[in-house]
Amino acid sequence: MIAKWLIKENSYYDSVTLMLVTKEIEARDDVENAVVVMGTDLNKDLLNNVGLLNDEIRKTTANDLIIAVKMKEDKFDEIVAKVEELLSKKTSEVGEDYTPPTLDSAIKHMPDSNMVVISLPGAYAADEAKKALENDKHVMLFSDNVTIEQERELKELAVSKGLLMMGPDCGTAMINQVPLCFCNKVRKGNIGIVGASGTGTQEIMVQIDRFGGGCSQVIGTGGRDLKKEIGGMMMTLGIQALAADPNTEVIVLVSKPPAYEIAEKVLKTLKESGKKAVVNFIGGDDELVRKYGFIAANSLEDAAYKAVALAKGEEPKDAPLFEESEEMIDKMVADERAKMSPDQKYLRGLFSGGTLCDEALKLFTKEFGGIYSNIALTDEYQLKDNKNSYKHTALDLGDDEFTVGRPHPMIDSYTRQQMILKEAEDQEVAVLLMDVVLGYGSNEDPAGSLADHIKLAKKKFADRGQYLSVVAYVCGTKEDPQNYEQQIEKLKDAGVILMPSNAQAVRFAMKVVRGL
Amino acid sequence: MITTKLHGTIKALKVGERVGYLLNNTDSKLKIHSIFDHAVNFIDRNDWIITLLPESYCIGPQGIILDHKEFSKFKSMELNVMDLWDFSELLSIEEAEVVSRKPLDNSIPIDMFRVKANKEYFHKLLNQSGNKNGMLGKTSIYRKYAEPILEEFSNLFIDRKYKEAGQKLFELVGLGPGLTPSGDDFIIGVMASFKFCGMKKETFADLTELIINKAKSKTNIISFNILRQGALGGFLEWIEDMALSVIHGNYEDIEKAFKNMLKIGSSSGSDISAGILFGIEEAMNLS
Repeated sequence: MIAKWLIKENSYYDSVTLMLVTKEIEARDDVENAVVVMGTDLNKDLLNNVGLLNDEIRKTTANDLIIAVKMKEDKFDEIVAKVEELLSKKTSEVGEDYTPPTLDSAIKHMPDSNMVVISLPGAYAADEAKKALENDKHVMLFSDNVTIEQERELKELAVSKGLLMMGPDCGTAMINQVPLCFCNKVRKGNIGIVGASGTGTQEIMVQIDRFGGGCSQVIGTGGRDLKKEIGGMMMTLGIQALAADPNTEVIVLVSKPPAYEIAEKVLKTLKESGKKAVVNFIGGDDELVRKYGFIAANSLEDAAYKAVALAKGEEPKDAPLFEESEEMIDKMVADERAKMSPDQKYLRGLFSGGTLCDEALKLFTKEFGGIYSNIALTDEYQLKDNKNSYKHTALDLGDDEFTVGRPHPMIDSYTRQQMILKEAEDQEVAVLLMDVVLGYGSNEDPAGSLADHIKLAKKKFADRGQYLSVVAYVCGTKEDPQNYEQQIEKLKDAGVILMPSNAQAVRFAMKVVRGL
Repeated sequence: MITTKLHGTIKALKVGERVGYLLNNTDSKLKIHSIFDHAVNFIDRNDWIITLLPESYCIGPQGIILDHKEFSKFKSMELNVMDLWDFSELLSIEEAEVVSRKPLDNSIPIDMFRVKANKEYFHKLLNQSGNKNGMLGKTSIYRKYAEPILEEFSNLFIDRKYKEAGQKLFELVGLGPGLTPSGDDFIIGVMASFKFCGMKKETFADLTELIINKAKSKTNIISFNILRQGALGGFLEWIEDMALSVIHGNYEDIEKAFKNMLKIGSSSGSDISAGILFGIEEAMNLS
């Protein structure tokens, strides 16, 4: 083990910079221990305890910054270069950059801004959103835990001012090609989306890109917008905004099935827009959609497929069930099943995206009659204990009870890692089904963070003379910051079967467990 | 060393209550001690620091708040550490609002049931949203170092051995990460809560005396200034609001105050909050 240190005499850096430096160093695999502290006597005692004290550090004063690192191999020059970059970055920004600490000061600092993104604990979020609307700013409210009464009040205010009030709990939007919160990088195009579901919207964006289309605007509404209490206020306003946008030629709507009268209101507004449209009320009333003359989609992928056709001036057809030929899929399924033991029967879905899980539940229920879940479609299939799977189960790990005290599973894979290992203890499991969501806001390396646990789970099955089939879908584009190809490779390397859409991954998993 | 003068006077919006006293007792020439994105520290010959901050930042007894455009203008000038500035040329504080410390009103009785419930709520918020890099992180080396010290402090304090207790808590000065070490932040929180719990001065007089006379050699000069302010009974507005909200406020007050606390430094707001919580617990145990 090699110990190295850097001393910055009489140097003061703000705590946030020091924390960034610490995190940067600690994130390296080759670093065993890193301490970034001022040279107080007490801190020197602690450095001594971890074997990082030496004569040079001993001579420092409380006004000197010490960066001491214990590492496996000497890559300190690399570390110093990065540290210097972080430290000087802040210094070089002095006098040029201003990070306003409050909304008031932000508005004062940038009076011409027209949108505010709010991500605060729910208890504070509504007040700030109201303040932004009162200042004539559009709002994207990422926070949840805002009451439905507050949501209604905010949206009424927004509508009265002709402003977008995206959210609460709005995770995905792209306004004028600027991705906001969780969002994939997709081609620019003529398809506008209004979505009441975060990962559902992401999936449609990604699939539009895959089919060669592009997006003009993506407007989020928050998951409760189509409830009776809210009345689809933001979906209606979103449609009107896209109707007025000359770059949008096709509109896609996506949400869970709304109440009939709300669906009618939304479709009526869509009709008034005069634009071509595809509607995916996931598992909802397709007849009503057709009655208004629009195209109904049977999956998120199908919505994208049809929207791209419309955008190209082609006749929309149903998306193929699989990208691969039926023969190839059957062969893959047979190969997977051949390796399993007779007691392996069940599918276990571990989703980070709520809408992707919901789509899986609906596709599965259509074929199998039902599947257990923490977000079950009916009370009959609601898990008694959401942390313990039962028979065929699909879990939305982004649901509140799994995220208490932890970031969302699209950011932090810990919960899903633990669930993978837990499912590996169950000898009756046949297939693990997962989504891996890329894009801005998501984990920097989601596939990498899951691969080792998948390998471990597969090993546990192999040790018992069994075989675990793992099927996944990577919701991302080649332009996403995570490097799409590398993510795919990491999963393939872990023995995962990859499908090009969520719907196809679900269908493949269903084929594997059918008749087991 | 150079002397620089501004062509024009910057009008301060707010000044901390100690600023006037400090400027009257110096020859008005102060050196730039340190420069941050949103703060410039000036230091006088006796190591008292005066901090210039942009609008909407929190102010303490030694702070001066400027309109953010004035602050940006000032920051855009060539500023160098050790440069000498003439404050009489630089600033006008005549029209500025003087921010005084919150008065301690012993006539308001402390409702112990309310404090107990508030304390629990504050604890929950702190666990949920507090930064765990300093005193809050259960596995951090700093917390491990501090735990036995705090336990001994509690034992001494409940036995009313205030001198020894003060010495014990003083052992945390200079401990931990951050520009203001976590241990310093924690002590600030304890002192604030003692003040607003209406603790008699004798209970922490030894601690404050140690801080004023001996903390300078145990921590850096910026943190020492903040500790010394605290020992003299002066705290950042947000710290006062936090302590008062737990002692006299309701859940809404606590949430509002805690939201501001989280804006202080990286882990400092959380470490100060941990100190406030600890201090209130000790004060309650004693009473």
